[in-house]
Formats: sequence, structure tokens, C-alpha cells
Amino acid sequence: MAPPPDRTLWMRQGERRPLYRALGIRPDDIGEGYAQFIVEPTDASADGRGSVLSFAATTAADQCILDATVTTLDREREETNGTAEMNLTYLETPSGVLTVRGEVAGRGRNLSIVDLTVRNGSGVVIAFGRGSYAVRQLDGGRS
Amino acid sequence: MTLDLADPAELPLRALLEAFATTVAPIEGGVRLVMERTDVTVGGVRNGINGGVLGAFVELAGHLALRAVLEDGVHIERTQEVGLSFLSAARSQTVAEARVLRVGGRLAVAEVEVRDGESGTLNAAGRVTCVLARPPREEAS
Repeated sequence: MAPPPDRTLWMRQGERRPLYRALGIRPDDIGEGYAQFIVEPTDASADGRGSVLSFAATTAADQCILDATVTTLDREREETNGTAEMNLTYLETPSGVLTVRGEVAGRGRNLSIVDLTVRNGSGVVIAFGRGSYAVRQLDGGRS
Repeated sequence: MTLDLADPAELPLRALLEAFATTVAPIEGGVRLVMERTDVTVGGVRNGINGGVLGAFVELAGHLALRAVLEDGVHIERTQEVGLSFLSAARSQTVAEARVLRVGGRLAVAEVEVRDGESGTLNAAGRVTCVLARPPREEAS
């Protein structure tokens, strides 16, 4: 298991990313087996004719899948290899400030399964889903 | 297509298209989006296009394909479901083609394929389901 990530460093790195700034995504919390982001409306995601805030939530969800998986890596033997699959189902129209969280539900040698939730400003779950992330064994899986 | 990017109501879409350096063109049964590689869109594994960007790109393409065929007065209320499989790393200019599968009374579905703009390699495939808002029906007199 990887040592717990430095939350302060993780947040500082995230705040500098152009993608996050464009979509109003802000790193919020990370720990062993989970990662959480805040999504705030911006010009690129604010409500117009119907909601497009979900686009930013989709981006944050993928980042949750990656970052939550990274906290479970054995850095000497494993590396990230990309998101394999993701789905999100919405129960309500997203609006206002959202919290997107991913929690590792299971880890195999080559895949990490991550449960996703999106909550509104009142803490109500407005979307849920699941993602899988590919992990590469540095020894080629021979050991 | 019916998308009018000069319409203030479309500002969020216009801003998103600009943020992703993306252009839109109609195709048979849907739309084609071309996204350039920029410092906003990179950040994936081994310096590829960020997976979250591809996810939003798929969702955006699905919305635009559906918008292009909706009757006057009908608009997309929100995404109901978005699902995608990442098949290979996207590295450069990325092209999404979205086609409408069905427009029903309350839900509409589009499928999206994302390919490398140069090699044509399939990078991702997805499906987007949206909830539609329709104007209230007039009472029969």
C-alpha cells in the first residue's frame, strides 16, 4: 500500500492545473482509498439552457477514479495505466456547488474498482456511478 | 444544427467549447467535434489527453447531437446517464462523432465514438442519455 498522499501538496498541485481552473474543479480531500473534489459553477459549466454542470462533474469523477486508485498503489511494483470504464447516473439536476467523491471498492492486480457519488450543497446524493482503473505491474505480472 | 452560439443562453456551451479548443460541425445523424491538444486537455497517463476531459467531451458531443434534432421548444434538461469505455490513450487532436439513437417523449439517447484525429484509432466509446424538457401541452378546448 502506498503511504497516504500529502494532502496539502495534492491540493496545491491541483489548484495550478489549467483544466481544473477552466471547469471550476478544486481538490478537497484525499486519503487511503478515496479522493474528493469540489465542483463550482464557472462560465464553462454554469446553468444555461439546461444544466451542463454535469460535464465538470464527469471530469472530476474520472479524476477521483485515478487519485483514489493512486492511494492504493505499491509504488515499487505498480504504476497507473489509465481509466478503463466509467458510468454516472443522475437522480437530480446538478446545480450550485457539487462534491464528487470516489472510494475504492475493490483492488485486484490489474484493476481498481471505484464507487462514485456526486452530492449537492445540501449533502444529498444527486448522482452515483462506478469506474474501473487499470493498474500496470512493473514486473509485467510475472511475480 | 440548431445550436446558436451567439445566443446568451448557450454561453456555458460556448465557454466549454473554447476551454477545450473544440469546433463543431454537423454530420449525417449527428455532430462531429474536433478538440485540439492544449495545456487544458492534457494530463492523462504518459502525457495523453486527460480521461476526465474525454468523459466531458463525450457528454458534450452527445448533448450537441441531441440538440441538433430536437423540435422547437424542446431542450435538454440534464444528463440522465453517461457511460464510457476508454479503449486506448488519446494523444493529439481528438475527434468525437455523436449520433442520435432515439428521441423519446422524456428521454433521448446518443452514442459517441472518440478517435485520434490523425490515425483514426478508437480512443473511447460512450453513450449519453438526457432528460428532455417540453413545453406544457395546451388544454383542448
